Amino acid sequence: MIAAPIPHDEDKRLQALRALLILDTPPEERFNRITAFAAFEFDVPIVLLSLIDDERQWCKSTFGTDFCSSSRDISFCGHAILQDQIMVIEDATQDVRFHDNPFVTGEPHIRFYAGAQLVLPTGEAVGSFCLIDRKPRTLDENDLSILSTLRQMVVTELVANSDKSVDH
Amino acid sequence: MSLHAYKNSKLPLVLLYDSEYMIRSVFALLANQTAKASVMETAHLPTANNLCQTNAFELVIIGMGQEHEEKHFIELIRGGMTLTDKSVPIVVMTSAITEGLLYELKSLNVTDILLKPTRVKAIHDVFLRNIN
Repeated sequence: MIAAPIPHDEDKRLQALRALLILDTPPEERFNRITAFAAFEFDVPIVLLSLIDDERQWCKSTFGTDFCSSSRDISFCGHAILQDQIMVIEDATQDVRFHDNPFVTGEPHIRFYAGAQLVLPTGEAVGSFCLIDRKPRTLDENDLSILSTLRQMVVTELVANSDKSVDH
Repeated sequence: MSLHAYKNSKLPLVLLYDSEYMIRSVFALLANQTAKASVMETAHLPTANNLCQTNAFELVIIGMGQEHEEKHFIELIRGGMTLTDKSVPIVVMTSAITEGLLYELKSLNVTDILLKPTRVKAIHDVFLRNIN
């Protein structure tokens, strides 16, 4: 297993994440409806809205799992935030970075992962919106466009939350 | 997108009327992000009707409710009672289809029928088939 490298702008990234005032807040319908929609749209059992804190991955919204947080070292999303494009792992058992990851060898037995990084308007990648399946999958160009659209809706909500917190 | 921007856009103009917020907003944002269409979306039938009176849509997508009151809206379009061309492709999304409804929709020259719940990808595919 290869732990995700730390982004070069880590301090600025963490500052932006914490300014959202969203870490450790309760689930919200405005995010849950997007994760539920993604699960139906892509026919995947698990969807996560994951934020990458300094040492942990924490989920603001999940579909299909009670998963809430994990060590950043073993997170797929820690890798996804480093990529400009959507990170697609068609079969994690065949990927050198993840084949012996505990999420692959144990619950939830991830085989397929697609993570779209959540980039704020100020440029920081604070997390990822990801699809997970227990069987290998592929995504076509239209799938990627739809996932990117859902990612944009999540970012809009994250920023709206931040604006609201500042104003009130 | 503002109304002004819509009217000056070179992109195909699409009307999406449906009660499902996520379907409307995801498809509209997807079309905008991929620069394939300008989508006007609404959850209200009177608004859809008004939009058709003032815009020449190149595709109309209609989510049908339980009472099928949208059939009259389709009749208005097919009768040339709107600014939209009466031969415009019309796609209907419905949660159930009976033989009677199928016959009525066919007689109104509905181009495609999608069963609800509908995936955005299915709408997108139909959109590409009808616009290209």
